[in-house]
Amino acid sequence: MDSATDPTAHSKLKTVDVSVFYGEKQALYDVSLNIEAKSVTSFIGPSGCGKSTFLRCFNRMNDVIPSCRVAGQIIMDEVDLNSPKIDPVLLRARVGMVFQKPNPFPKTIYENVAYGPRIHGLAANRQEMDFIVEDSLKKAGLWKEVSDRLNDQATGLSGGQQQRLCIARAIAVGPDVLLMDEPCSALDPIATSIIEELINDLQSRFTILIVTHSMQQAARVSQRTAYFHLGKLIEYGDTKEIFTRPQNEQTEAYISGKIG
Amino acid sequence: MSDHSNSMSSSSGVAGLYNAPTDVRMAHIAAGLKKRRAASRRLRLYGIMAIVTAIGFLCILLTTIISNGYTALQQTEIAVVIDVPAGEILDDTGAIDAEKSRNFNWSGLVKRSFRKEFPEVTGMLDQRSLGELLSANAGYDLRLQIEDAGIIPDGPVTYWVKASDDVDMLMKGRMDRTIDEKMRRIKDNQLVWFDKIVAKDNIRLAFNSTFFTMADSREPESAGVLGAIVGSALALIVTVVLALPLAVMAAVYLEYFAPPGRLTDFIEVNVNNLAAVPSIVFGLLGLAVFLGFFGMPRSAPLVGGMVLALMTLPTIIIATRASIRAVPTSIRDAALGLGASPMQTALDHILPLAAPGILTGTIIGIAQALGETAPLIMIGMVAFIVDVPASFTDPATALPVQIYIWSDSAERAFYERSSLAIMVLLLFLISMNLAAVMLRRKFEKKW
Amino acid sequence: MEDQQHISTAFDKDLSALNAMVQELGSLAITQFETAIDALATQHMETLDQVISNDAKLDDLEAAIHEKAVEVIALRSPHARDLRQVLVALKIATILERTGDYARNIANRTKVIAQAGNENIPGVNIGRMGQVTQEMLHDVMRAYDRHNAELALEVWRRDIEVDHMHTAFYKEVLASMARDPNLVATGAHLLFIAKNIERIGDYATGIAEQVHFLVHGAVPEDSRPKADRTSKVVGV
Repeated sequence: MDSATDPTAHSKLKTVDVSVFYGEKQALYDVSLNIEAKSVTSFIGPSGCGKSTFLRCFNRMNDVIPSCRVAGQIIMDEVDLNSPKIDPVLLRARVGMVFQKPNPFPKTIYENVAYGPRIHGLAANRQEMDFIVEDSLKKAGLWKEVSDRLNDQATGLSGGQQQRLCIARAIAVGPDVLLMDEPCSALDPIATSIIEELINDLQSRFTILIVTHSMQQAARVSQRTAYFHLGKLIEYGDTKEIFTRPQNEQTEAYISGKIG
Repeated sequence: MSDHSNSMSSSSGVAGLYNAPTDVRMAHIAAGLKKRRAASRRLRLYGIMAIVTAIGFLCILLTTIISNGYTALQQTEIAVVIDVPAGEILDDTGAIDAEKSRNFNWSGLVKRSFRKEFPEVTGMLDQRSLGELLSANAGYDLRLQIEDAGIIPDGPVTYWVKASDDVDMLMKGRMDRTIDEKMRRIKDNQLVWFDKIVAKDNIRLAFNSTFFTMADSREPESAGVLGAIVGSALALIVTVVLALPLAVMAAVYLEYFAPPGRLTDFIEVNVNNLAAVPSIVFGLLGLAVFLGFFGMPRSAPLVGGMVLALMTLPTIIIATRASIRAVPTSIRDAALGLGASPMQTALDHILPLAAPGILTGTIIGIAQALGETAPLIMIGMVAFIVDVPASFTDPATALPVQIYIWSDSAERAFYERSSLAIMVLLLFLISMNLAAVMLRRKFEKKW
Repeated sequence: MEDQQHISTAFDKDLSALNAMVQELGSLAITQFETAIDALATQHMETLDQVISNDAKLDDLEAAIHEKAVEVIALRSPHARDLRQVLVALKIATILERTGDYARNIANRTKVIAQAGNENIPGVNIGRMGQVTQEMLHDVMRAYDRHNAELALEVWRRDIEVDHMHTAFYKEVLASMARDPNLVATGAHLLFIAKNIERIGDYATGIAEQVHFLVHGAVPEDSRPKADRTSKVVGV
């Protein structure tokens, strides 16, 4: 058993038999995998295969949906995130999320980035906050484009810029893990490339999990890839292996474009 | 567009026209087009007829009200030369002595001065008849005028004194002079005197400022809506202060914190139904609970406001929930994803974005409450109040109730005034709704 | 090369790594060939053995290039020029590996000739042929490195010289063998060696065609001038 699914291996994130139910209907079946620190892992699969549902388990966003129930263990640094003792609000300060459609708050660019640190009390005064905002925007590759207009409305930025703003907003809180749910699906190819290059840079600081419906994107950005189908984890391994010699026939079929 | 298949052959068999050549199909469609166009023309016609009918009724309504009410903007006044005896009013210093002024027979002074214009009128009955041409409160008005001025002019001065409401109606042409004297309020001898005053040009129609500055009165010419307006305003302030925060908090709770289940569903259904409850039921509630159980003062704007608040609550709750739902969930997800608690998400992001909608709903709710009569009658805001209320617990009346009271009375002049009051009420309602529309337009943000 | 950089730096790195590997294979193959040609004259045993054993390195490098090219295609989805670059790298790697094989063959046969101990070898012409072919390889690899199609075409046309030399050498060896039947064994080997060199010349033109394809998107239109008449030689 390789370290990808070996439950005894030490890794940043580990899931053990995670299943998700919406009311009576089961959306995920016993997913177990390990994720290394400071790596990019992508989840691929056809629509409705459960990859986004799985991603949302890591920051307990599934709690927001009333009929949703998550079973199994989701372990980060030896702590089970799925236990009722864990406060989702605290968890989300360690696990950030970027969504499919860029969703900046209808406030200024500065305020967008500052909101997270503000509610968690991470800046003692205005100077510290200025630093946090500047640093986060730099790490998100947006500083040069907006440094002279921090007080402009965030909604005036282009789609790609807005998404980078959302990334800056998420990393301003200083999380360990970044969850990205199809972050480029609303963007044009150039903006997509810019964000993929950004992910490449961010990888040295964060553990990144990315859900994508584009196999090419998964091939380009991630070191490890997990293929889901109808709620089950079909194959999980090195991206290079998955895309040149997948071991499972279903994986092969999906990647060659033989199933939808 | 030419079809290579034989256009003479019609397609037989399955699906009729579907497989027919293009020109056959198009001919068929073109044939049916005439009927379709006719149908949509008819529909348009019905629509226009409906709108014309509605506007027609609206015009009739407005025309009736305006034609009845616009004359109330003026009040008939008669010129009377009066010499106020300074000695009987002033004290030793030359200032007006309140006590003396109160005890002085102002009314007599006015009537006596008026009679001087008509030396031919003798006999107590006739003289009383003559005096009835002037307002019964003429003396009181004069006293107030002198006291406000603070000084008494030397010698005789011409004062414009309010005429009685019958003379007012006569002057405005609302009284039929030709009908039998027994059916009229103005008798023949009064008509003669009236004509004489008109001939001398001692009569005029002045702007009826009393209507806007005074509260209710027995005499129409001394009656105004100020008391009702202030009463309505006070009640509405109480309504907003109570209803708005309660409704917003209730809506936020129902939207975000209520656990899904039978209890929450039950509450939701009831909130929606409350909006349809007849307003008089709220009046009964106010009567039984606020007045009966808690013993709060009758006719007070405070109680009126509380009853109206209960009535407006469902409207604002529903508007707030709709506005909250209109805020895209992506904003909520973004805030939650950053680690904001549900309360922080609601206060920092959702409510500010939902505020325009909430505001609009509130204004509409308030506009509705402004026009409510039945519940206020139930809790007693229907009394005859002559003072403008000064606090929330003073007895008061509300504008629609005032209209109701006036429209009930016998005097023709009150009928005229109630029409004007309706115009005032309509003006308030229209401007509040306009404000709601403008606010919505101004604050519509793009997210 | 003033190619623009990709937004993805990882993509740029992959392509340069692939190029570097092919260049390395190129210089290995050229060195093998040069050494083999020199050893033809010197008949130094150790050198010949080294050429033979070194060939394994070329095979390994070619396999690695293959693996890397597959990786780039699978993971980067290259298009247009990038795609041609990867395909051309694959093709050239194969050609270079076979060039190495021929160099090894030359070394093998030289060993046999040396062991036979024959002096009378018309080695000068072969030396000249080997020289020209060496230069062709050098130049075409330079053309590949610089993505220069004109330089590649120029190499492409030079092959006719090699063909002429081969035909002449062929006739010479036949004449030698006819004069002295003892030389037949050696002569036969020499003919094969000459053929190998002539094939390496053809490979150089193959690489030139690939460079043209890389730059212009198509192989050269005119057919390559050929002048190899050895198949037509009937008698002495």
